[in-house]
Amino acid sequence: MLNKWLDKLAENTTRNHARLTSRRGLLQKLGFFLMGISVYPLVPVFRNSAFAEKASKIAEGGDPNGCNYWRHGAIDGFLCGCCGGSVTSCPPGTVVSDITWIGTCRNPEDGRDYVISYNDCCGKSACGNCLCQRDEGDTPVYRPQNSNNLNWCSGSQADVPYHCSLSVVIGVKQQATS
Amino acid sequence: MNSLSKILLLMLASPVLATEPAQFDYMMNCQGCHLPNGEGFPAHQVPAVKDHLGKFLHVEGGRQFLIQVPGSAQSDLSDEKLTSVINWMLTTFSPNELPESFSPYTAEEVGHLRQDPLIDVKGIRAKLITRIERLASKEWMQNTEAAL
Repeated sequence: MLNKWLDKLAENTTRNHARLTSRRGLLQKLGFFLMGISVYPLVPVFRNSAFAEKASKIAEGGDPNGCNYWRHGAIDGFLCGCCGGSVTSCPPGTVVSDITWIGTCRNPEDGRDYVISYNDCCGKSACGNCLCQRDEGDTPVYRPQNSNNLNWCSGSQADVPYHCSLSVVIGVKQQATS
Repeated sequence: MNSLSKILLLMLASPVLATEPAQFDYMMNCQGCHLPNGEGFPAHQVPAVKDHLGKFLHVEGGRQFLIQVPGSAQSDLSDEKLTSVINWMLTTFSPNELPESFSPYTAEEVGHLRQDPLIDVKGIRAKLITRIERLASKEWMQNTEAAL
């Protein structure tokens, strides 16, 4: 009696299931899922709200991937723009370090001094492209407040592995009133 | 020309608005470690400023500590600039913790205090925090008693 009832239940459930689902449905869903995970890190979305910079009104000139670009005054490392990221965003697979070195750079286009945050991108081994070492305003490590010769990645979730550096505009110096 | 069009003209003339001077000095001297919102990085020994700074003004020695701590006393800022940065930080990051009788630091006071740097920073900080905690629990007891 009970066996028969169980048989019936199993049969009905299986038949119902077969009727309601397509045979290729699972393959399709699995395919989407696998494809999705592999493509997700490549989607160019803004991943971090750490940056104050807006699509800017700042007058721009020069090549952001060259060491002489105006924002890279105190840069010491690999430019993220040459590593799969940009001058303001980390390459896929790395995280930005919140703790950072901050200085000012003069923009030759408008002659004003901008506050630049040199955040490091962390979590992968050194990028190796576009090494720049301008170090303007850098002080020796015995004045740590203004020394850029530290691994800022030790202040990030990814900890020590350093990949590349950003140059993010976070403010503008007030001009001396004339 | 009415004032609105003057403002509009000004905005057009200066396309990028300057950062407020006290905030600019905070960015240049403090923000690298204490972060834009002052939350710090306690996991990496950078104390949180946000929602904490004002508590120090409630206990004996706290007002002096905020200036004598190496990050303040040994910064490149002049006495005047350090004064406006610390007052800006207190009112921006910790307005709810400020005592009712809060009087802003003066440049004279700051200049005087930073001549006298701390030797045992960690020890003094720990002592002040114990005082703050003791004060908080005392207030809590008083409040509960009043409620009963």
